[in-house]
Amino acid sequence: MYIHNHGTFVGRPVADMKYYKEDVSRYTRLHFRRANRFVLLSLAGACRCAHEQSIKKNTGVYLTTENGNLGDTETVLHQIFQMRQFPMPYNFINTMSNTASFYVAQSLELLGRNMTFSSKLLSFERGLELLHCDMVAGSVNEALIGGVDEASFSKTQFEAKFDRRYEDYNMVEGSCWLLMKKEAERAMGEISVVAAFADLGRLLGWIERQAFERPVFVAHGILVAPEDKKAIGRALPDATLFDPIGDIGYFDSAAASAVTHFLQRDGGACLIHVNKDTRGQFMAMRVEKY
Amino acid sequence: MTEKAFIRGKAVHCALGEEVGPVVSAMRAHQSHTTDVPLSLINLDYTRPYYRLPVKAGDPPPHSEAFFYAVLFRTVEKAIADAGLQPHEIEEMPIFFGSTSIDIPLYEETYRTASNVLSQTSSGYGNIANEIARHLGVKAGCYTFTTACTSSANGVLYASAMMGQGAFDRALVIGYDLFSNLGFYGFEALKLIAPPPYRPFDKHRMGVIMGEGCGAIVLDRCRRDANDFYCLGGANACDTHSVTTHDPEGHAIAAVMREALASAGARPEEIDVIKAHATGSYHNDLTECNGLKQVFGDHLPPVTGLKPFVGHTVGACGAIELVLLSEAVKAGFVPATLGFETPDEELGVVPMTDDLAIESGTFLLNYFGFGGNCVSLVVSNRD
Amino acid sequence: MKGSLDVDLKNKIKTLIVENCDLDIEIADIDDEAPLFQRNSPLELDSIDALQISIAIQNTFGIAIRDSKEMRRVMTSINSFADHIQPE
Repeated sequence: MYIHNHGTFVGRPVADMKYYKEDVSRYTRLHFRRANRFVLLSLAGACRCAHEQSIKKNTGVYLTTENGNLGDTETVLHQIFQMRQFPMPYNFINTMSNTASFYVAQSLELLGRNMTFSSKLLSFERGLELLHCDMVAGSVNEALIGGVDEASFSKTQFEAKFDRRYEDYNMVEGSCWLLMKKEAERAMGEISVVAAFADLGRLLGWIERQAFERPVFVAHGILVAPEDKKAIGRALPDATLFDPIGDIGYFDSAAASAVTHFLQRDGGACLIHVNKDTRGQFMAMRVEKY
Repeated sequence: MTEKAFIRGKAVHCALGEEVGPVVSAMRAHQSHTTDVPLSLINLDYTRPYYRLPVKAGDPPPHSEAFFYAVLFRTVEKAIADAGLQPHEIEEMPIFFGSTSIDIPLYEETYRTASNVLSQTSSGYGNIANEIARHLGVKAGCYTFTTACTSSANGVLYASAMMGQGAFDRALVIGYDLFSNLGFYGFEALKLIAPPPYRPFDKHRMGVIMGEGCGAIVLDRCRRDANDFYCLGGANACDTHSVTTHDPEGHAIAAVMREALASAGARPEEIDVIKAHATGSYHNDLTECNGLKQVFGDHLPPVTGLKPFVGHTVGACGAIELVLLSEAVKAGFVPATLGFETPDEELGVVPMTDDLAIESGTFLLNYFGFGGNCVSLVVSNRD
Repeated sequence: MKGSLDVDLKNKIKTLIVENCDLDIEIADIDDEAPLFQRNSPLELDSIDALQISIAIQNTFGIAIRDSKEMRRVMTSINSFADHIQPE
């Protein structure tokens, strides 16, 4: 699968939604009166990725997310249980997070595949598997695929989920997208492998079988433990550590962020991104930038 | 598709019951049952119908976490038992989970006394699939689809497509949506809920009646029984007309049906029966019928809707209605559209008013949802 | 007083529409007689906006509009809307 463009919108959350609306209005003429934070975040990344590209109508949209929209779901539950009123329709409709992948398709006039998808801590990698399946089947030749998540704003939830100190991370929100095509011509890079491994040993076995033509960078997901990193480092002795979570910040679509931030760097390099989930399963992505 | 994905095991828990045999018998007897749910949470003095799960002695109280997992795990375990899976087969079987509400029913009760629970507690959309994996000892991947009413239909679509490409030998597809106040009050706020009887495609249709339930399907590359269904093909596309309604002309819906037929290598005239999405809302039925007429012209095969039996089970309907349809056919029939009385000239499609005797065939199943999501699946149990 | 003659009520309705539908328009610029929802109507409102307004009206005035046909009739213009909320 070949990478033809990338788009990134990552930062500390801003309370005033006008900030996002103004940003998105630079890329699309549609006005998003009913959009919430999650929708606007999705648009901000996807529209950057599609900007000044000729995007075909049958381009697929694959929005991967860990949490989807949280804000409107809380609002609707508050309206029903605390205010004892009907939920407001705008809020209720946006509790269904696929409204975000819909608005991406609507603003870019895309009639192809439309998917909102999640896979605990491996959403972006598993989403790439779906895209790969569609490309092999011939049902999709071009696609926008992104990882979108609001910032984690709960210390207790974060620490319970990851067993990591909340204070050690810069909590950001983000929307990181790739324009992927089956076609190699004029590509800026490729994702050559997306693979899952039941344990560290099998991951290391795969790494050892890789041959590299370009300098290698290695990046890790949040749950990759220090001892895992050491073992991966030994298997990739010449690799340079790339730390987008430390450099840019953490949000639950950090794997997508790692890829798009790698693509912002100089060409002629290869990224091995290793992610791990709560079940101890590993997933690796191999990304080439030409 | 190079390899076929056969339905090796299945289970369903819906308003008609939790055993496939009796559920199919109830469909044959044209039974259905709705419960009047008061809108008391928001101090209104009327009720709206809902296809609730039957209350069973010994079950944990509805709306409890224990009930949520009891229904889910029981249904999944029944599908696995029906498939006769060996432990090593379970371990390497990926899970495809589709739902509109995901884990919201787990947290709602706490909102009676607290707020902001979900964002402080929920650990993401992928969590329920992971809980199923943990419960069953599955080591393979978990895929969660959150595309509103097409969620578990997308699960079937990708599980069968990936299996067709040889990615794995079997997969578990689950559609699950329990009653949630968020969904119930939300649909009523959109003025979508109809009084009983539920009558999709009828001139006097007045909207949707929601339902709750769980459907679980074990797909396998090997056919166990000559009568087993398999997934022939399918498609997903986006209708960008509006976030809540589809283009009334039905162009997008027609396109997705055509793509599904093409991927299945089936011509329109090879379809024996269409299982319509048929929600009973004014717009959805109009759009779907316009789409059907575009694809099938004057040669429309018999069309039926299954929601009057179990309600609109939103994200779960993909898996639930596939089980209901395939099991009814294996029992020798496709049920009529329960509740339908008066044809609507504007629709120009009259659904089945009598059961159709049929033991094998090729079927098109439609699923549409909010966010313009459209899915059509083609399944068959022909040789 | 009939709602369509009650300027305060009509301003209240206009404010409610502008706030709930996140419109970028001054309430003084909303014509009392202009169609609210027709194609090319000045506010460019659609059926989802109608639902949003209907729930806002229910939450604010306690007046329920139960079905979408009634909704379309009531919300023809600001004047018809005001008369529905306050018939006399």
